[in-house]
Amino acid sequence: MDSGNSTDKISGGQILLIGNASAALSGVHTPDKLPTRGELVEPIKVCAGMLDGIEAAVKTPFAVIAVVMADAATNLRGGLATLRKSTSAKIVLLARMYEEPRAMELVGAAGGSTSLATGNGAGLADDYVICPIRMGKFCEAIHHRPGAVEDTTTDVADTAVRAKMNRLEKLATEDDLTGLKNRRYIREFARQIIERTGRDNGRMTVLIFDIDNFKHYNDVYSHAAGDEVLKQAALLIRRCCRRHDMVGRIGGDEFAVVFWDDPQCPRPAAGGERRSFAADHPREVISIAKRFRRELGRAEFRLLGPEGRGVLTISGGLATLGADGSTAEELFAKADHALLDAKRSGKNRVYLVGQPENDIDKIG
Amino acid sequence: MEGCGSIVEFRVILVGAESDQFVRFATAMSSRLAVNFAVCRDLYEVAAELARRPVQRCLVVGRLEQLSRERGRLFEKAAQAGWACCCIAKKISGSTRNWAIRAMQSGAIVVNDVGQLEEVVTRMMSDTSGTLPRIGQDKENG
Repeated sequence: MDSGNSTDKISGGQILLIGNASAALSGVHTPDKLPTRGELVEPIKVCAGMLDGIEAAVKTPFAVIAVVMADAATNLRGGLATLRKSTSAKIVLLARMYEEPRAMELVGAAGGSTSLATGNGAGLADDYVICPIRMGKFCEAIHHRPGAVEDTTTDVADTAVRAKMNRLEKLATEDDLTGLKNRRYIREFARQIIERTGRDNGRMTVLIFDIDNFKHYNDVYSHAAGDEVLKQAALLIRRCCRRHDMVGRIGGDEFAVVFWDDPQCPRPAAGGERRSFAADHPREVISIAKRFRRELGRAEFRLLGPEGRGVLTISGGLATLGADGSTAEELFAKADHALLDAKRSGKNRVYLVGQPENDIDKIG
Repeated sequence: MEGCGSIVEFRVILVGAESDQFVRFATAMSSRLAVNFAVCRDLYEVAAELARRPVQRCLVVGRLEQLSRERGRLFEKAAQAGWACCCIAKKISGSTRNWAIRAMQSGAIVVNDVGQLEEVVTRMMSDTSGTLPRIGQDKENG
């Protein structure tokens, strides 16, 4: 993932970092120099907040301005708009995993890669990288300057290397079959959300589920049929979740969803179920899980033959931050345990952890 | 938006939308008093404006909740740079109380009516020390 040995140097200016540098760059406490290959090269100026950052950017011509999305400004869009107007520097956002959709929106590069997207400069920022990031990768991201005049040979080589790295990163974080995030990614995502909820009293619920009798479909109808089941299930759960919820495949037929409150997500109209922001956790999550089970029950699986409609069911467990655990590991373990209870109780059900009547179908 | 040519030596920065009632009032007042002024949409534009065109005597005017954003950093910067801040707060209660205290501790003045702005500006124009006047101090002193 991290080359860690970037040798390029930024020409014609310094780097300005706005926000909490130690939270964004791993292994960095108070950087005043940007090291690559163990050497100290480009000087880096750090400003804790956007007001100081803008003042510094206007007074000094920086080549790159890196903005920590989480804490640089109370109104990030407004701050970036002023930065954009006041300077010609390349603006790179340092985003947490859960901030990626917003980072993409600010860069104006919808559909970019998992961790690094390059905008056309028309947005409020040019690039974003996912944090915490190692210094080597940070260097690589900031050295790539859209629109800069570069040696053609180097440019082609850079593009190839970048494409390869993006491919490697995709392989390292995504499940090849379903296109969902993998186990490692989703656990790190949950960890970052928990870290965030500690700051803003947010809420989070984890759902773990698997396909009932999946082995049977694999063995009787072929592995191709099994793959189709997994792909369809992935597609359906993705559709049933809200845009900001993170869905992953964490094992053979096992999936996980991290539900959380995104303050950027618009509040729905009264009665809205799917996009609700204010609904109690895990009440809203329960309605999503119920919807998913309904959709799965209606889905048709071509490779399962004439009986391929309405045969698929899932068993799952739900664990909520605070009530059921305070770390990602605890929540995943508790949700997994509830999933096992659901299996033992006859499958085709989703259980809440620690509830007296813990089948979600018994909850209104 | 830039104001008319300056006769006096200091500058007024108005923070808010141009359609905002207090901005319209303050714009008209600044023009009438021949004060150099600029309108900034938010604090970020204020920071850029003051970095671009630093002035020794400057009065930043805006609503208390607007000027208190970014954890009151503007007040700290103003105190360091010697700028004056004037916050408009029609009513102070709850969370705005803490903002008002913080603003005043940094040397800002808090008024509850836009009509008081003119008094602040005229006193600053006549006072070359650049310090903010206390509103209503003449009345208090009898």
